[in-house]
Amino acid sequence: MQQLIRFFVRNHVSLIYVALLSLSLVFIFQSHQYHRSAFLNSANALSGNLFSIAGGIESYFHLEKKNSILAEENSRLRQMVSKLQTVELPEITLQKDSSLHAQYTFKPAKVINNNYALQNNFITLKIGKNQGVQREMGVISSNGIVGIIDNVSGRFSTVLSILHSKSRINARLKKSAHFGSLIWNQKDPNLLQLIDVPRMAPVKKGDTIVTGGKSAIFPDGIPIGVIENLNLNEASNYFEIDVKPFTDMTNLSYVYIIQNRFREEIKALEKQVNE
Amino acid sequence: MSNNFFLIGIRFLVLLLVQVLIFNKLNLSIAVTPYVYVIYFILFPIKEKRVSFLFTSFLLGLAIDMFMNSGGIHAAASVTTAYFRPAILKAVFGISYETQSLKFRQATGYQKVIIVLLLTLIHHSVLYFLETFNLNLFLFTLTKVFLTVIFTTILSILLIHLFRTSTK
Repeated sequence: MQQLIRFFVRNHVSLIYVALLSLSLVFIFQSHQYHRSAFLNSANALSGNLFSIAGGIESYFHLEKKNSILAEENSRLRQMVSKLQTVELPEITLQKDSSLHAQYTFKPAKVINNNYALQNNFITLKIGKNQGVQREMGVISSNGIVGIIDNVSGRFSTVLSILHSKSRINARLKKSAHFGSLIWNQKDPNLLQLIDVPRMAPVKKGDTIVTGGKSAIFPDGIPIGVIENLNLNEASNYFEIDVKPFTDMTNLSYVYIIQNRFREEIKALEKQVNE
Repeated sequence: MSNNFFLIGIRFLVLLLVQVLIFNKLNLSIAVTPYVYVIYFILFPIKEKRVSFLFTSFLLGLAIDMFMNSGGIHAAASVTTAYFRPAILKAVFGISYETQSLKFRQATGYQKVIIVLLLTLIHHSVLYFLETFNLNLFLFTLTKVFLTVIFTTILSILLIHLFRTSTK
């Protein structure tokens, strides 16, 4: 017994080191599990407030760029509206029915911290549970997708960016219904990878990739990016495609959070299927 | 002692804020982020207790993890760096370094560079391999470690020299 105590006293520094290292490894493995929120995340009051103060100052430096992005988006939307106005619609009478409300609603949110140079990147937003944000809601910018809500606190939330090793988004070709999964190989923040696209799909360099709408997170047809290079893997008969995203992930200031009105219903149904 | 404690606390907070608010946003074209908070491990007084060094390093890493949503990789890297620092100091200053009540600032330029380089190398290796956690990307991670080590070392030495009077 005495020897044991002496052993502990003599090696206490190493033992403390091993204990602290194991503790941090536990935190790491916990954060790697998809359906568990991380023990430490930047959606808390301390880091949220700090980031929002710093982000408030920083945002002034990019005002010009942001204005031009917004103006571009406005002109795009105006064009769509004018196109719709010229279409001659047959006279229809709308019935008052709750199911006619839009399935998706979009909430604007301010980006207060944005990482893109790490292997696993997160974005912090100044919007939280109090504004109705929940886990696993989609996040898009005015140009294309950005990520999925990961952790939520009262006033802040973190987004699992598309630049994260665990990000996996259902995507399809714009001109056909062939779909695959959008992942990131952790190398270049300007290139994403589209995998599991079968050989018979008509893929060309320069084709547009959009979201597939096969999950309750993103609606169908949200733009993602264009095909930069592609190569057919003869062994697996699937394409290996590099996609250049439309969203400049290095320059985000405002994003939209997508709320799916039927999310709970879809989830409940999928849960039944899985059981 | 209390003066030292105060100084260490200030350095902890300043390095945390500088890292999170300035250097994490400084992404160069090669996608390398300098982790200048390694200055904490370089400047922590040699004669202080090793246990308190381990605990404060762990807390600093954990705080960085909180801001960066990185789970616990910075905590693991920091506590490892703190644990191996005596071995590095022993290699650089000789076995009797503890009895000589040395300070980092008293070291020669050559010794300083070696200490900073080795501490940064330990910290960044643990950090990047835990971050990637994928042996397929071994070479990619290795290049990233080397680029960042060089960059962090240069920046840290510059920062230590710039703020010499304020942190003495």
